[in-house]
Amino acid sequence: MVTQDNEGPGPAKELFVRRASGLTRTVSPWSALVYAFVCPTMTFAFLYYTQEQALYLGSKGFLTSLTILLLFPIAAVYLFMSLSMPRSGGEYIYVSRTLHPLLGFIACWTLTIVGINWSGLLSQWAVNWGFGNLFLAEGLAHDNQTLIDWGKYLSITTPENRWVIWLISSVVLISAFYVMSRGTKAVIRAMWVVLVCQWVMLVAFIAVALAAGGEANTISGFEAVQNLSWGDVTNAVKDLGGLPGFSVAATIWAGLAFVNLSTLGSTYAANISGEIKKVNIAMPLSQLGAMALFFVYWIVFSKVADYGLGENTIRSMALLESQGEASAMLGTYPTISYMVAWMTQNWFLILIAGPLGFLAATWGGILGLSFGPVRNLFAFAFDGLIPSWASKVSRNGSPNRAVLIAGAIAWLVLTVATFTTWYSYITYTVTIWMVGWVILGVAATVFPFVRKDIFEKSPSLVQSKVLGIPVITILGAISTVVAAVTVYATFVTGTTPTFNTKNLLWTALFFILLPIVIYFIATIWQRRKGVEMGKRFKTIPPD
Amino acid sequence: MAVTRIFFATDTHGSSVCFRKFINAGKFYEAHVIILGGDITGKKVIPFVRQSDGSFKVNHLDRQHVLKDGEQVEALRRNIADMGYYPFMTAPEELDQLADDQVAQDTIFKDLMKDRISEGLRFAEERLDGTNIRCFVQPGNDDEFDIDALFEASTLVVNPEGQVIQIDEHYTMISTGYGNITPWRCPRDVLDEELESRIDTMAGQVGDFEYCIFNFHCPPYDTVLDQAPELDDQMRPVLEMGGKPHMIPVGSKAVRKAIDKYQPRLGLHGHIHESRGSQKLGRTTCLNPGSEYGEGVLRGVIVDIDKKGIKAVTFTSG
Repeated sequence: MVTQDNEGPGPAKELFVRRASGLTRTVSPWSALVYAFVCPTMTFAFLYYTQEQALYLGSKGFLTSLTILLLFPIAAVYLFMSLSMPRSGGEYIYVSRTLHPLLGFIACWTLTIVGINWSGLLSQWAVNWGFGNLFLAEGLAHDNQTLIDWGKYLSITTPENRWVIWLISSVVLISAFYVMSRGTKAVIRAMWVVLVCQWVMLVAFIAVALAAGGEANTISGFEAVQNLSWGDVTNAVKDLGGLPGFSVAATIWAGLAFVNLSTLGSTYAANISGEIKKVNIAMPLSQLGAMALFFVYWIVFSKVADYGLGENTIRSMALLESQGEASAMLGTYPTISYMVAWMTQNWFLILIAGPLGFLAATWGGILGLSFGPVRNLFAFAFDGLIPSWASKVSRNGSPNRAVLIAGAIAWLVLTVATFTTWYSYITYTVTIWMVGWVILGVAATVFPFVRKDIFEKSPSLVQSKVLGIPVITILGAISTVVAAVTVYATFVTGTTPTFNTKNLLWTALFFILLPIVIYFIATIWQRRKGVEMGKRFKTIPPD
Repeated sequence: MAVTRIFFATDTHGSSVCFRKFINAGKFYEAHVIILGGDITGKKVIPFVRQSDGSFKVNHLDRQHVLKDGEQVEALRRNIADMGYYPFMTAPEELDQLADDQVAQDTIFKDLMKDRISEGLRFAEERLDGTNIRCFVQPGNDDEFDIDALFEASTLVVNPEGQVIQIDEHYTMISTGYGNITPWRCPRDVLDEELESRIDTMAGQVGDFEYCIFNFHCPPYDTVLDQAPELDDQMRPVLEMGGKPHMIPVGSKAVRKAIDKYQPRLGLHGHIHESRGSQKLGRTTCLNPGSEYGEGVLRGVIVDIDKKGIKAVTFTSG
């Protein structure tokens, strides 16, 4: 069969189309792009930029931004799969139909549980590095000891203050889930506000950094604000063996584990592709466009941070923090949003380019990272994987019971993270997420061969081939490798002594094995009701 | 206690593969009764234009295909039929003539619809013979009246429109594929008043609504089953802040009124493909399994009923 673009002489286009009902795809392509960009919390760049260099010693901040390029094949897999199966559900649908419902459940579960986990953790971040840094930075700017004391009290969770932190974090969490319970409209409005905050924060940060005049001035600002000598910092760095040399491997691992972590959630647009019109335009725009915007955000941010604060300033703080010394020295984690106070004395700019912007974005993250997963929980309940009780919706169409379940899990995570050390490595849930993407990558690789029926009905872009190999197979294989290497990357963080690989392994295993247990319980339960679980998703033989 | 298993699907919109799956679903899910709730004809004809060298040109999925041999033609024909469209073999001259002749186009459209339905009914006769599976297929608001007569010739597939049908020893079912007025003014769109009258006529023949099933293509108004985007005068969706479509209830007020009034045990609905779900309205469990016919996936719902009521509801994706 020969195919070509739809131009030139040939049959008239869609000559016989009759008027019939069924218009349901209505989210515009541009809105899909906004949705894809808003879901992740891009402003976490202000935290991760230090964190990645603290945990992967020798990594070069700016270069880590380039690893976003590795995510384009995964975004392309979502693009191709959503064009082929343009239904809400994302990887849950793609993997279930291509491989097996259990694998579809695991793939989707990983993304779901990670999103909800993050909502719980971010509630504490909002208090520590949002409210805490806000008081601390403003206290330092105004030389107000009361604010400084409050800031230091809230910036780090300790056995002494954890009840207070937990209570405030709970209020933050509840506020986000309350908005979620008000329905999609309320969530979208809140996301627009967060989107504006993210870009305002970046613009303000650029202005502050450029006006600061470079590393020397920032160090002066550090000494004036912190009442510390930079010489003490350099001495402490020397005691730790000096700034580590550049390491390509550490840079790659840091980028995979942290830069890419900040983009997770952008693929949620594929989960609502059933509601998006002109899917062939909307999906490239949202999946690839959002990734391009993330790339721009990170590149601009990292270049400006390196110029304004100075590469060595950030690396010194990161090295000290790898031993927990920076937090002890400053009274808070050395996030870039906090370090803004070293570059300017303007209290308003400190607020919007620093902690207030971070607080708004973190709150948006709590909302955004559970919004998609709530829909997944709803789908699981609908399909009998979890009790059908969770599939009920309110009069305004909000899946309130799924919201309640997600909120309860997030609150549990927050509680465990506050009162125990069990969750100290849950911040590495990128591992669990990437396991889901390994499964998705495998599904995409074999899709043209095991689901020929769907593949052959897909748009021509999906059916395109290079050297006789379906492009989606190539993209799937690359995605599998990228995701698998990222899983590995999260386990080689052993360059810092505070990292415990065993904790990460057990955490990851728990969350990956849990859906298998749930699936088999559901299978037994459904069998008792008279319907085999496998049959619920199995293709009915058509002939 | 004897349990009757019902499999309900809807809105297959001409998809050959979905119709065949529906017929086979009885055996697959071990159902006693299978019901297709309406909108069973397709929306588009795809011309296969014969070229002077014997090849065919076909515009499909935004691409122009040039088919060189019979095997390729047959593969694409089958593909298009499975998506719910109608392949139409033609020549360039005929196509030019048809371009300005709406009546001729309509005739071709209806003939192709009837052919597809007839083909499906033949398949059903073959597969259901000797199975004791009862099969009900009703036209929906999208479907032309021309197809109704085809069901009369079938011995195993019943069009339940307007009838009171005994499903098992306890349950009766009343059915209608008519719907309230849509922006597209479809063949079986009627005013809610007329729909109410149709329903009341059937309901008047029902003895006990506790053991009654309402098989109405349109979902009840203002439920989770009838949410669709609001359209403006140009048939464009009205968007809210953030590009989210403004969803409004588009179901039938007559259906809602009938359910509120009669309180049947079960309501089977379709019409809004994306509003897959269930909702209780008093005693009535209302279900819409949704539709994904374009991808050849048969969405459905299995309902197990006995004298005590609904034993289990299981949504499927086959």
